[in-house]
Amino acid sequence: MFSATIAMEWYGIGCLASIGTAFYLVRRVPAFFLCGTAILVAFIVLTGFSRPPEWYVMTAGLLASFAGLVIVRLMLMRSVSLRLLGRIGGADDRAFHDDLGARLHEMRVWRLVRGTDRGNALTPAGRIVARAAAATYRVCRIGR
Amino acid sequence: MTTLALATAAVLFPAIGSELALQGRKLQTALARVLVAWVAAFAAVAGAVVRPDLPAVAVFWCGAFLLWFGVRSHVESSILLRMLYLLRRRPMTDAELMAEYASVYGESMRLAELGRGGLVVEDPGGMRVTPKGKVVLLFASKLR
Repeated sequence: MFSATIAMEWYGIGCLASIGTAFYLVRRVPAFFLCGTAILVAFIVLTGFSRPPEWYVMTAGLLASFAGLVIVRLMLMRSVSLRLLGRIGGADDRAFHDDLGARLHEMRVWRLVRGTDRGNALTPAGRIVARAAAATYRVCRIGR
Repeated sequence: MTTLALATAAVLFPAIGSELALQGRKLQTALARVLVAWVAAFAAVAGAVVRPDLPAVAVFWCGAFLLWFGVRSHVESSILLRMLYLLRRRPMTDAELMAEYASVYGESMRLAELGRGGLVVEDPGGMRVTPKGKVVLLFASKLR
C-alpha cells in the first residue's frame, strides 16, 4: 500500500511535468487537448488499481491543471490586449475592430445570438451565458 | 483523511483573498499580489499536512491555481462575454453593439490598462512597449 502510494506520487508529478511540457511543445489546441487527455488516461490506468484518498486529490489536481492550461492557451491565442501590445511593439497588424467583428461572428456561429428586425438578440443559450457573466462580474467586482 | 479534505478545501481562501487583493483591478496589473496570496496560503497548508499527503496536495493546489487563473482572466477580458452581457438590456445592431462595447471597454481603455500594468508608456514619440511589456510579448510568442 505504501509503495503503491509512493509510485502514485511519482506518476502524478511526472504527469504534471508532462502536461507542462506538452503545453510548451504542442501549440495547437486540439493537439494539446489530445496529448493532455492521453497523459491523464495514462495516469488513471497506471495508478487506478488502488485508490487511496490522495489518488482522488492528485487526479483532480491533474485535471484542473490541464483544464487551466487549455484556457490559458486559448487566451494567449485570442487575447486582444496581447495583440494590442504586439501592435504597439510592431509585432501584430490586426486592428482592434477586426477582433470585435470576429467575436460577433462567433456569437452567431455558436447560436448565442440571432438576427431580429431590431438587430442581434440573445437566444435562450445566450441568455444563460449572459446571466452567468453578469453574476460573475458582480461576484468578482469586475467593472460593469 | 480529514487533513487532506481540509487541505483541498483551503484553496477557497486564496481564491477569495485574491479577489480582495485585486480590489476590482485587472489580473494583469495586480498579478504579484495574487501570487503572494496563493503562495502564502499554500505555505500555510503545506506546513499543516503530513508528509505522505504533500505531493497530492501540491499537485492539487497547482491545478487549482491554474484553473482559477485561466477562468478569472478569461472572464474579466472576454469580449464575447461582455457583448452578451450588453445584449441583456436590448437587441442591438452590429454597429450599436460595437459602439457600446467600445464605450465600456474599448481600445483606449485597454491601452490605459496596459499602461497601468507598466507594459506600455506614452512619450513624445507616441506609445511604446516597456522592457516589461517586451518580456510579456516574448513569453507569449513562445507559448502560442
